[in-house]
Amino acid sequence: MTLINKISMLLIATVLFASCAKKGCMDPTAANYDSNAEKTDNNCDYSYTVPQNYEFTDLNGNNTVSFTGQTARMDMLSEMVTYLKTANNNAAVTLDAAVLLSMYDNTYTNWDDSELDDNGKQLKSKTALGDAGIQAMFEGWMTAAAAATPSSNASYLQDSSGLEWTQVIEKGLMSACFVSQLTSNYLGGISEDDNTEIIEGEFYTEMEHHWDEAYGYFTDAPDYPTNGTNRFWGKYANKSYLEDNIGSATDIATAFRTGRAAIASGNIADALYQAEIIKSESKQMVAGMALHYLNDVKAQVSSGGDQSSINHSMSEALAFIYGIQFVTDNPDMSYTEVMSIVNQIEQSVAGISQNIMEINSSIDQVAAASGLTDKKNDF
Amino acid sequence: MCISCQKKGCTDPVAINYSNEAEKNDNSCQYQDFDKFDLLTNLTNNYILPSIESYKNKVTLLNTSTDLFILSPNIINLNNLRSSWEETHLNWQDIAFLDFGPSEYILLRSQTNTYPIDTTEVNNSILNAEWNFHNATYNDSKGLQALDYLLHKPGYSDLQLINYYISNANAKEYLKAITDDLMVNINYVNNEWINHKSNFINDFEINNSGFSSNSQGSSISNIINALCLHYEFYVRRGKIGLPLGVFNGFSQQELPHLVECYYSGKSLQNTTRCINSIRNFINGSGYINNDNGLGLDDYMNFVNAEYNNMQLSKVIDNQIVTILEELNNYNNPLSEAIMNNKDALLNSYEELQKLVPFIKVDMTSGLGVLITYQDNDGD
Repeated sequence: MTLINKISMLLIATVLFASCAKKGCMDPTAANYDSNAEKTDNNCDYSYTVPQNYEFTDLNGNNTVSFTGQTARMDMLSEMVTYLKTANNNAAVTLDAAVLLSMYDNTYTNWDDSELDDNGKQLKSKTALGDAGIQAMFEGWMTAAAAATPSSNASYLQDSSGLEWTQVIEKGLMSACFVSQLTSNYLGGISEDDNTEIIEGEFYTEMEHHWDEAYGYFTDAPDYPTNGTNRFWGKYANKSYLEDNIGSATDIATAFRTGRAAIASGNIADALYQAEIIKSESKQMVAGMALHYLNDVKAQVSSGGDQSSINHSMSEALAFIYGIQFVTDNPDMSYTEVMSIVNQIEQSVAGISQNIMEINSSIDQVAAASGLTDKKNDF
Repeated sequence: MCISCQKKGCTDPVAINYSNEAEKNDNSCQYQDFDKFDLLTNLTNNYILPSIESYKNKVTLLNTSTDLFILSPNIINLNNLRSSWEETHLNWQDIAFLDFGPSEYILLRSQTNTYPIDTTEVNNSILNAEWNFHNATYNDSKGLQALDYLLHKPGYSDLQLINYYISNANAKEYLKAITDDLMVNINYVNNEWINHKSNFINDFEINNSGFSSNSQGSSISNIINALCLHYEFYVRRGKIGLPLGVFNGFSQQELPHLVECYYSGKSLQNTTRCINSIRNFINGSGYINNDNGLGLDDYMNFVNAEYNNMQLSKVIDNQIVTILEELNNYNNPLSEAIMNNKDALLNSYEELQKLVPFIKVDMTSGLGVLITYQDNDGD
């Protein structure tokens, strides 16, 4: 053995000795996490596979997904809308404002689904990140709707200008509550969330849970869009005017599954990238709904449609325009920009609906703000 | 393993990667996509643009004829104005079914040719010198049908009509307002088409496999939806079915005053012109020279669309020819034929009806287009 070889042996022995602390990936979120590792080998695997359904489990097979609070709020809005609609075309029904207001802040204790009673969740506190002015606007609509009953109006409960409260409340809260929470609250804060520790008593990290809660405001179905297209955003995103034009259902659901798989494997950069996709798709989704109903009003006017049906669509358009301000903390239109259109429509829903130049002016503003000018006629 | 001895490959001779050695299909077949760029280029350059420009020129002449008549209301100028209106009206039928893009945006069809005319509103507007053509409630007081009424007022001899205009400055102003309104609208549509035609020609998305879909919002979807809507509601129903009484489900009560061009009696020529134009458009014929270019017929043949083992394009063309032959059996005014020759017209209407499923069901399913104009949310 030459001297050089002896030195080499010695060096190898030294290295072997130093590595007696077992090396491996010490990041529990990585795919090749080694619980026996005592020293990191800087070789963690953050690759991941995106599942077909929004279903995620930990290494022990425990379900790590939970968004019961979001489903509960969708259930509350569903029940509130059902209650409001009992006054449609029924002069025997009087709505109670106190019931609507208590459904809104969940002091109501007579839900059809009794699980909702006292469950600590409410629509009101999650409206527009707690903005009292916006909450008051919704409460004003609820009070006015009740005051207008019993109504002898055909088909829909509408005020003398044509405003249909049920539509502005339902479609308005879809943005002011659901999308605001999804984008501004959960995805807006996702980069600050912890993804290293499993929350005590649960199977998920804080970041995983907040991502799931965002998803829960989009749809409550893991196998969306096979299921989950019965109400709210899960329903509308999959309508051909959104899905065919801008791919809302596919793009948002795919980004949610991809981002969640990335988080589970510790790949935060990928998750943040997917969050940006969801935020920008959400902006176009809300704007696309506004454009759809404005176009729908024009189509009905064009074919000489029934005015109460035109008012119905115009109220939906108003609600979705109103909602644009709540999508992310950097929305396409500000409160002031949105309200200049909303106030004008709200004063005279039926009158504006017959003024194609005014409607086209709203279409152009919304389309330009949301980057949908080329597709504005296609929604 | 004997199964794997069979050579796998694409066994469909129509596919571009057909292998005549393959014994077992491995689902790898690829098909050539129809050349939508060439189709849309032909339809746009050789039909849409020249037909719109031609109508625009007719409206410009109509406007000049109106100026002449207003300046000197006499029999020569009245007849000149009437024939200018008649030419414009026929040309309108060539573009009436192109109600997508800029036409749809400003509701060109409703602004141009709504009927029946609200004669009370027309006469009150003239009496009070007060009207607002920007409001859709005036769509039944303006446009080509208002001219039908104002140039052929019932109970007026030519001399009386001339005297009416000589002594009524408001009426002259109203005529001019109508033709100005027609001009403003078609100038807008014409300019938009010239400036944005490449957007339209290129509006089909190619997916990952190199194929394009005709999803909602794509140009081919827009063309076919507009074509089917116009034929179903504004030709079959509006021009024939409604005045004939077939939509009065119980009594079948005739409503002859609902025909197009009720006051001049020039209904049938407009109906046949429109159906003939739809035929030319489907077949890809050039508007100016009638050259047979790439049309929806070629597209249907490309995808082997069939009805009862016959080429669907041929079935559609035969049916249109049958309809035109049927309508050729009647004379103007249609309103009188409805009362005097109803049974024969009902049989002719059946032929008009037969075309609806051929274009709305068979053509759309063959070309993968979703009919979206009756897409009601139901909420």
